[in-house]
Amino acid sequence: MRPLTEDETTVFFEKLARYIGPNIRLLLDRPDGPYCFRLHKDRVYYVSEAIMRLATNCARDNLMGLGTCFGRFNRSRKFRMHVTALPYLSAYAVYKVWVKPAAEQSFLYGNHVLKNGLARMTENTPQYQGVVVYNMNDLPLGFGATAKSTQECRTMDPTGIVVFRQADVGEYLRDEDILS
Amino acid sequence: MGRKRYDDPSQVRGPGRKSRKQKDPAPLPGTEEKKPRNPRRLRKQLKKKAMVEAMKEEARQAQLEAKAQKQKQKKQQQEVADEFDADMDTAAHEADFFGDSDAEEVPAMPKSKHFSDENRSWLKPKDAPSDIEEESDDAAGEQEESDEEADDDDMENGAGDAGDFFANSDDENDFGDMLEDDDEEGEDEDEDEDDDMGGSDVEVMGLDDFERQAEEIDAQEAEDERLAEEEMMTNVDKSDKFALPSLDEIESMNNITEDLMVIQMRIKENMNTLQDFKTMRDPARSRSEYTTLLKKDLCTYYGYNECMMQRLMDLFPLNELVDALEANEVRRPVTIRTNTLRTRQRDLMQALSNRGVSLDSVGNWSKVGLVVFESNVPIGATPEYLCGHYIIQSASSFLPVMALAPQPNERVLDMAAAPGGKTTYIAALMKNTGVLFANDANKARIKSLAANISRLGVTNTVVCNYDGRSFPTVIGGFDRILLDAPCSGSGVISKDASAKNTKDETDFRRCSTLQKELILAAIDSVDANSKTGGYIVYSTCSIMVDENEEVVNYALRKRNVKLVDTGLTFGRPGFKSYRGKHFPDTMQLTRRFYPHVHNMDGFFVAKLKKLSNKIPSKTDDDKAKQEEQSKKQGKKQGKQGKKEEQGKKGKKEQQKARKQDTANGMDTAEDDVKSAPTKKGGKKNKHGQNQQQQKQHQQQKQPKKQQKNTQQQEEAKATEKKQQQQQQQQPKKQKQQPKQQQRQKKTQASAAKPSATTAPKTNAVKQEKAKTTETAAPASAKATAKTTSAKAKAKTAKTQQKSSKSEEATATGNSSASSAAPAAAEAKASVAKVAAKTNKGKATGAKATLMKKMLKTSSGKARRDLVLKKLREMRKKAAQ
Repeated sequence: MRPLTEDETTVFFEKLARYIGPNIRLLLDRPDGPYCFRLHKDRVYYVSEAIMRLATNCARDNLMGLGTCFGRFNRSRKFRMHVTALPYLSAYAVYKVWVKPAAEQSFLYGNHVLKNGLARMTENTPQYQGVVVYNMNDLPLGFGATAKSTQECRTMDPTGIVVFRQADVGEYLRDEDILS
Repeated sequence: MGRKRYDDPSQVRGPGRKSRKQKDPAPLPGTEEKKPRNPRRLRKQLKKKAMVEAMKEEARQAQLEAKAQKQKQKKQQQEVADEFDADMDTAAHEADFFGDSDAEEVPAMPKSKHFSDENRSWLKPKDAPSDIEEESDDAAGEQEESDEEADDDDMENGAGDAGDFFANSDDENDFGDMLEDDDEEGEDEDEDEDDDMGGSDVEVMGLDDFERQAEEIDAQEAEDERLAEEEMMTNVDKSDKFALPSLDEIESMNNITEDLMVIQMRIKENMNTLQDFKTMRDPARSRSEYTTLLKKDLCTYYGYNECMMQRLMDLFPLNELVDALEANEVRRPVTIRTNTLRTRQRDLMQALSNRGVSLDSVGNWSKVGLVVFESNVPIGATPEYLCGHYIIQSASSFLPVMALAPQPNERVLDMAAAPGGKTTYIAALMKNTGVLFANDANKARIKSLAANISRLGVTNTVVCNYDGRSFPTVIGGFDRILLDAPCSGSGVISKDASAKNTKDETDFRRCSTLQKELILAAIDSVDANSKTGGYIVYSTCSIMVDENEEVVNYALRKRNVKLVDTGLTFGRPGFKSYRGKHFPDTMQLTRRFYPHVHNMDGFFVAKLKKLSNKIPSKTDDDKAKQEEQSKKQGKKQGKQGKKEEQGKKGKKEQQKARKQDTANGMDTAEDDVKSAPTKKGGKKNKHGQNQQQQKQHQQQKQPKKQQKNTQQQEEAKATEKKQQQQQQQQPKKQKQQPKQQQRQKKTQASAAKPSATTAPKTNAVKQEKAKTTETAAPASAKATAKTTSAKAKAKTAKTQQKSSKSEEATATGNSSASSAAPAAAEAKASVAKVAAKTNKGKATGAKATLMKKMLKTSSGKARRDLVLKKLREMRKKAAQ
């Protein structure tokens, strides 16, 4: 377990900023004590410093995780967000997309969001912007990137893809092994 | 019946139109499947019938064909005429007409099911007994009469109708036929009827007949069943007393697979006998024989192995045992726990009921538990589930966490966390503050643990993968620790039935050893000086005493901890004493949960409070206890204060002591005995002195209750030790004889009271032996008789050595007679122990080794036979 290096920090924050933009600052300055990002076995964990200090007692091999896992660096040192980061992404998301109840299940099974399943989305969302996907009860279901801007979405074909899925909560069942 | 038709000759229609389209009669299910009363007779009848019918069939077919052709021609002519009819009103009318004509033909199909000429063979003339017939019956002889008896009622009922019918029928033919055979005659009647009558009325008659036939069959089946049952009853049991099968019979049972029904009945009767043993018993047979058979039957009926069944029988009184076993066959209701980090129970209930899940609160003892009655959607894959609003968790898993009662901002450890149900509940109660260490020894299970933790939005955890026993070296100073120890799973048999027959004594022993090590590690990781906590909750999903009370008792002896109230409002209190083992009074503060009582998985919860961080080493055990007392009393003396400080500072000392403990933990049984002063006393004492001890204990208990002070107990223990020393000086041989008697008595006593709530005090070793002899109890009446005689001899105390020899022989004989492998293993142990104890020199030693060898080398039945043979020889020698 160690702090992120300079390069890792830039890669990671760039990725994170796609979803929550300038709200990253809110993740670091918290009223309930200092929080930090730590790298452990290629995974980035977001954890309170008090817990992090206690976790240093565990040997590297025996420590399996702490706090919240945001994602992992792959072998080419690109960062990939995991669905485990969803609570924080949804709390600070700038752009949001809501899906209809009928399309909810399809999204949870790992499909992209189509136009006919789209209930509403934030105004002025640019193309390829990271968005968090909610259902109509405002439960965060996952996140992805928009395929079209809001303007284009208005006129598009009902079977066209609106949001490319990147992660959804269905992964807790499907890919339990990958997440931890 | 059929007579009315003849009143109105205008309506007479031939059977042709209906029979024309009918296929061959399908065999009637009722008549075909039914067992014939007298197969030979029936076969004869059927043959005759078939012959006669074939002949008649030909004739009729020819007739019918002729008729049919005529009708066809007529019809065609009519249709042509209609078509050309100028008065034809509407097309609708035409449709109606054709519809009618169809309708006339079509209904023939369903009717054909009931009756037609072709299948008239099953229309038996039950209702046609005539005088002639009766005569013929008489002539036929007694055999037929007896066969007909069952039908008499029907015949009498139908007699009136039949009489009328005969009076009116045109008859030369009929009478001739009737003289031939009663059945045949019936057919003829029917045929005649059919030839002349319309179908509908005949159909009614057919139905009646059919029903009557069905009723008859039913009645007969019921009768058969009753008879069979009676027969079985007479086979099993001639009096209302339950007759225990003889040894040979029991032996032969092993070879034959029996009917489950028979076994069930035997279980029932055996239970009844055992519950009123004085009056119902066979005086020649001992109680242990009954219980052995019962155990064997229960094992086969419910699919347990003998070890597990023995343990359950020890645990539950007889009237509860079957309930418990049945409850293990039924699945518990699905329960879910609301994740209060994400949602509220009311919102969750709303959301789920919108999805078509019917659910209700689990009870007023939990604010977060919900029972799912039925669900249209998979409850483990709803969006709410995936978003972490709830987790599927059995109701019993709430209990240890509720007992732990973690507070916000504490440092908590879940020592065996996977798959995370309890861990996430702890985090929810802590409201995601403080630190929660979730540890599990199994790396594969950590995946599901981590997934559950992140799904439920728990952020204050550190997940680690250590062996729980090594945890004190990793990190300590916890406020609370939950130890949900790995166990045999005897409480969750309904979930995992493999526990029924995969566990044997060694597994249980291994489990409890591990649990003892874990609980010590847990206690060592807790900070006794914690402001809010210092608590350890020990729980298992097992209901066995040696995984629960004994482990807690071990911790109480080894560390400065005390039992405190769990805060759970229900559940049975833990055992204060169990099969001769005695636990402190505070053991009642622990809680036991049973499937058949609480409708949740079998569970055990104990809550301990750590009193000091000092680990009492073996040598100054007494000192530590004194220290504890003084601490309680509030008399802080300078020396002890120093000691405590040392305890805090000197980590190395602690670790040393810990290592010692873990090393000791490996040989638990021995350790138990050594470290328990009371037990030691019991081991060496005569019976009378044992009683003395009991009195002392009682004296101790009262002040203890009043003042929560252990000082007096300490004193008492000290005096006990003195007594022991004195006794040890006495010659050994004199002690051994009465002791053996005592053991024999206790064996019987414990057999008589499997519940063991009032069992007398015995020490651990004795207890084990008692078990071996009891488990190995399919002893012959001979053997028991000999044992008793041997005892009598021992009482006279003149030929002590001889009697002990024979006793020993019988004991080992009993044990080796039992077929089960674990019992054999125990027997081995007992042989060794007995041999060592009696200490009678070379002869016994040689015997013991011989038996050991035999037990080791040969296997199965052959081994048993061999051992028995040898034993018999030895017994003879001993008698000489």
